[in-house]
Amino acid sequence: MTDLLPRLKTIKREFRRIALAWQAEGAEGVVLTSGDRVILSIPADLCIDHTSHSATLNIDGNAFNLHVVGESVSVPRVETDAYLLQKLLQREGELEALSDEFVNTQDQLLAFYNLTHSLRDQVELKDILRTLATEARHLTGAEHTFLIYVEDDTPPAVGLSGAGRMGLENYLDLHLQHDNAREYTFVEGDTGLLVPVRVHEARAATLGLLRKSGGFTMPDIKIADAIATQTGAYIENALLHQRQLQQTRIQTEMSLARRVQTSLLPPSPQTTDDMDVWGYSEPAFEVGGDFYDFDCDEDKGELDFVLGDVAGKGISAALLMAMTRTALRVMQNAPAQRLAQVNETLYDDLTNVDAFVTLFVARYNRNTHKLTYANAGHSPVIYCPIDGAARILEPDSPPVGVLPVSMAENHTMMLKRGDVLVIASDGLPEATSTDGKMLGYDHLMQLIELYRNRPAETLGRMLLRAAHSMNEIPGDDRTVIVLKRIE
Amino acid sequence: MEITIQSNDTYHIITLDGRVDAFQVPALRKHIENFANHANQNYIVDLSNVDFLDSAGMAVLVKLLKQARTQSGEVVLIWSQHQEANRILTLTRFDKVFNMADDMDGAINLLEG
Repeated sequence: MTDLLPRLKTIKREFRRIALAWQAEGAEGVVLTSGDRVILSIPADLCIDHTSHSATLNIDGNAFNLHVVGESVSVPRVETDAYLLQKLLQREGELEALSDEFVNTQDQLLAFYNLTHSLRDQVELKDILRTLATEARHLTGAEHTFLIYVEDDTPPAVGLSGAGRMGLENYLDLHLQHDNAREYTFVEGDTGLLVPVRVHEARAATLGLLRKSGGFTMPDIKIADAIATQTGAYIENALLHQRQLQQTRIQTEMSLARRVQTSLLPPSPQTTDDMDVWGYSEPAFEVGGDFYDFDCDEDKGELDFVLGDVAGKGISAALLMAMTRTALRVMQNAPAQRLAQVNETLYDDLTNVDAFVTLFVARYNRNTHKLTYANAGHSPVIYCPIDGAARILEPDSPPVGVLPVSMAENHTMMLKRGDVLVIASDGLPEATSTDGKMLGYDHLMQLIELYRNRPAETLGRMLLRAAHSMNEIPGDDRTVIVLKRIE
Repeated sequence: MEITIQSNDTYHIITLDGRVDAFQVPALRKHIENFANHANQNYIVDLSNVDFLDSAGMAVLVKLLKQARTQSGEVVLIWSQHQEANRILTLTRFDKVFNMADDMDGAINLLEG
């Protein structure tokens, strides 16, 4: 009845028109009552006596009476007027309900707009969960709300709002209480509501609304469901952002690592008066396990050079490559002795990480034109004399790190003017086309024979180009150094 | 790559099939680590049907060799029927490090002899 009072006031004008019409026809006036209570009366304080005629109106289950006081009153007309007022009040009620719904919808739209707006610049998962939990509390009237996101391998992320915070295990427990076959679950004697949140189509989070006086109605569930859907999208965005951030960080670090590694390689070309020298290394990934090094002792007229290939690729190989290069640099004796010392130094470390390094170590004496080399499992090393067929200088020892003691020995040969020595990593001959065809050692030797008269750099680039033409993406690190006696 | 393992009192036979490269070795490494505390440290690795073996694959076989030899065991490799796979063994001189056999009978003779 109390709720009807504002509505009754809205029909005052129509009531007055009815009363004036009756008075014009001789009646004293009109009264609207509910039980003993007078709601409206024209004129005021009109008494309902024996001359009055009444008709009943029913509004939302409440009975009202319309009384017309006066002689010779037409009863059907009183009933018609009562019916008219009843209809008016009913329409007014419907209008009110529509307005309420409209206002509610507007409120919700506004709340969702605010929600979207406040989340626009947020990319941190925990902030997003907290903001959404707060908005869910405001929109549904729950005392306490939470959003928990559970992902394998990482601690759960939780956003809370309102009083009565609990321990993480309680929220996890509630997260697990939701029955995945259902759209929502009531908990805590229907004063709590759990709605699943889907992230990348899998249920990974829960929106929990706790302690609402009077419990949750269908509109609350719909709002919670809408927030849960929005939450899923925001979590996906936050995860994407996290992943991008991580990738950018890794890429930056890898670029830096690449720059560091490139700076470990000697600048090319290293050509001297009597020796045309060129070297190049390209890792399969940002960094790799291949390396080469030159060291020229002008006083002694000696050129030391090495090429190494760490088994494996990427960061781990790059770290071992830097370690091997350093170990080699501190040793200045003959190639086989350097290999033996490097093997002794690195054997335990390489064993611990299940790795080995193929190494070709050589020294060229510019005065005597004598080349001394030792080869620990490295291939291909190709010698192409100016006047003969190219051949492979085979290793006599397994790679560094395989046996506790090196088996490599020094080998010597004289380099004639125009002789070419090509040392490459196995990524070059093993460059493979998509249909499984390899560049191969024989083809590599044919190319060297064909281009042996070209400068070292031209020959080296030809060989790399041949490998590139096999496949688009190198499957292994590729390194090549070319030495050609020109004087 | 397929890995088949048979064991008796004297040795383990690890039969590999297909490609033995960086993508396949984690599975093989796991098997080898499972053998680490085994009393019997003699192995025959049958590479007959391996058509590609790269340095990552070789690194795992070296791990097995080191593991066996620290416990007075031995590893015998059976040559592949594919020359591509044998190339890394010869080019890097691993054939000098491992005991090599042409077939299973030869491998068993090497271990039992």
